Amino acid sequence: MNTTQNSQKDRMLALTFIPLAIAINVGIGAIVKVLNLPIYMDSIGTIIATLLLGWKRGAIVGVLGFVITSIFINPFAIYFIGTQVIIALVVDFFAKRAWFSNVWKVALSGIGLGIITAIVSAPVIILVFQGATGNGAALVTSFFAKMGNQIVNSVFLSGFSIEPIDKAVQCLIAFFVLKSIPKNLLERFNSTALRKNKFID
Amino acid sequence: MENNKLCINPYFRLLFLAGSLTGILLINKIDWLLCFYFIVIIPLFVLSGQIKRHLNLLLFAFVPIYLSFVLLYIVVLKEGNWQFIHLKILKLLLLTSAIQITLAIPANQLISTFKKWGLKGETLITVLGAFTVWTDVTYRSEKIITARFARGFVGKRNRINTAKQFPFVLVPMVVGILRTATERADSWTQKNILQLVKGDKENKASISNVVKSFLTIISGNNFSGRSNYLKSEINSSESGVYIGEQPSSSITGIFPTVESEIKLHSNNTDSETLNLVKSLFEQYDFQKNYGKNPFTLSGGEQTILAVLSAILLQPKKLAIDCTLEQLNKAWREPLLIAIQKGDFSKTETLLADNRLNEYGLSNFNELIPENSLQEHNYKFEKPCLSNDIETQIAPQTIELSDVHFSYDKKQLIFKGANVKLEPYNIYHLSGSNGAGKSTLAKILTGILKIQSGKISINNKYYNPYKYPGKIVGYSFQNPDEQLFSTTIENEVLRYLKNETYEYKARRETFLEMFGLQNIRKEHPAEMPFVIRKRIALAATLALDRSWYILDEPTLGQDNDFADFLLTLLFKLKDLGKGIIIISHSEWFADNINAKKLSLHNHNIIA
Repeated sequence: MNTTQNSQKDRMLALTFIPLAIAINVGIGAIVKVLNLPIYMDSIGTIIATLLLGWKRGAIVGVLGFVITSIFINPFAIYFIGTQVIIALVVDFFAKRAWFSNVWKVALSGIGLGIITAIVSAPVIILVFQGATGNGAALVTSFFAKMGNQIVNSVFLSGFSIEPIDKAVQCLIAFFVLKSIPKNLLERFNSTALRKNKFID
Repeated sequence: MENNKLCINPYFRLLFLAGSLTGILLINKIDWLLCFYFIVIIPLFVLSGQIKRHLNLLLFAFVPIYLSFVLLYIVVLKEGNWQFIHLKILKLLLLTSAIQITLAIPANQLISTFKKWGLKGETLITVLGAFTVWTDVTYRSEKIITARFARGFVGKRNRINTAKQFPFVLVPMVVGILRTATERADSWTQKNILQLVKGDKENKASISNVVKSFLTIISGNNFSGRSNYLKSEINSSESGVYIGEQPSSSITGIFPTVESEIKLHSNNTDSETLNLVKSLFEQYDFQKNYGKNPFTLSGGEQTILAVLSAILLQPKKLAIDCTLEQLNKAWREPLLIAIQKGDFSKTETLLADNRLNEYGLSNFNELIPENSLQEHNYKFEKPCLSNDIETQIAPQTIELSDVHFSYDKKQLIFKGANVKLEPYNIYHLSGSNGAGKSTLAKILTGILKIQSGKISINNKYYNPYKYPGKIVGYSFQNPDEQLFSTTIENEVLRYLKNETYEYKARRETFLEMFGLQNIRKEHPAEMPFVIRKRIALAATLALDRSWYILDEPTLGQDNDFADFLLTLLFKLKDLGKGIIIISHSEWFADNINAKKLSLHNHNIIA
């Protein structure tokens, strides 16, 4: 009786948290806009949701978050929803192996995550955008093309030089945010990933 | 209202998407694609009222793409194939536009569209939430940034200093989100959200509830166990709804408009109650809010929405825990009269509140919960005044002359406003919703920039916008938007590298006065609402400023604390401070002997 009640509670909490985590993804976009920051952080909500609720719900957060972003903030986000699923999967993989437990491990996980997302995003960048995404990454791609690389290779090289840094920063931010949240709030989420990585006892 | 916009059929949306995707992928002729763009896409954007957003998209998204195509293919690779570039960009534009037209669903059609797309149950709730909740969070994040300014944490306003605030905004945002998620989960369970979204008519047992009394007052002070009593009563009741200090947690949060929120709560309401609630909404002139997102409403409006929605569900028990303190008298009275009269005959209302003596209730039962209900693990000290408050700042007179401010062309707030605010005074700022109370506070604090006019301090020109939070300290209504630290002592007064003796002493004095001494090492967000509000107040007042603006400082606070605050403010006044209070509590405003400061006709009248 008690366990079914608890699992129902967890379910309801996941149901209320998912839209809010989506809003973290979108909201950070809004903050970045308000503050005129030269960065683009679009996956912190996905990472946090994956750590709290597991990869399936993390992926839902990522995908729906990008749908919303593409309507209201950045129209091209929609082409990268596949990457969000991969982010949830990879973060879950690292978290299960306690690779979110200290700064160095988190940074390394972030770099690993970045390499994987670069590989996953490349086909989209090549097929949909022909390598010209209209942002900083496109400049880097042009740079590699100028060095004599083919477009496909340039897109990969550009991804490998930007994504690991971006994702490492985002993983670190997610880590520090979760570290500064009172444990009694985190404990409401019955998460093995949080326990394994010592965010809660 | 969005009613004048074209209502696109949900099935047509999907058909349109499938058709355009196939067309765009198969056709490789620029002329044909251009025809499609001008004959189909553009008119659809115009008709659905999104042409502005689309033009923005062209400018801010497609110009850079075009440039990077030129850079990569013309400058770097020297292929020079303009035809190829134009075809690719046009296809991308059409693809993106088609997706946007399909997904940009007007708020008032979200639910019906998703239902027709076959979404139901938890999936429907999740998707609805995704489309709705981010407005709430965007609002919140803006408020948190504002709070950084109001606390004077930014220093001189420039790009770098503003950008540095980013990491500090994240933590309160995520903490707020986790708290909302947990509180909302309780509220959704009580309201049986899945049933609400389904929208079926429930076959309620025709035996009407026997309500012992319509209104029961749960008396007691803060931490007397009354909140726990209310929650346990609701949990043990067959159907019960609890509303706490923050009405936003009791608003479902997934329904995109006020109208849909009300409608979905009234699925199974009997006609008598429905009419009564409707007439109350009319009294509050609520129709003007029907098209808005519930989270864009003011605190008072959210309170009314949360309470009346809960009444529409006709629960056996409705617990209102200090929520009504945010309402002004004109809004509070009709609601309380209706409850006392037994208008909502199937519901017993349980009310805990700190301002009961102002409400003039006559027809109620009273209940004192047993002391055994310990609410928290911590022992909270009572506040007590200290004689050690000192100030290093000379009193300052603020004068506004010929100040103009408007948010946009439609929403004019101040037009040639003049006012002189003298130190050694407490002002009570009043005005109807939307008259500009918080706008004035934000202008004085330096969060908003006046469009024209002059602000002077002691007869010298001064621009608060350049150094926000340096002259005026501003404490918001909601404490959660202004708590940033991981310990209470650091929150009350930030640690500095070289703290002077006076600075350290000030921290101790304020921790002591607000009864936070024993819990100084704890995390502010771990505390109950009452204490979070006290921490936020202490943090604003601990900074030595010549002026303070306090928005609803007694929210959730019992009379003991209100008395203490009253004496503290008198003391600060005697030290030469100027204080502006925004409060719905008549008792507080009367006893504090405040000068009236009212907003009328786009002017400020002292």
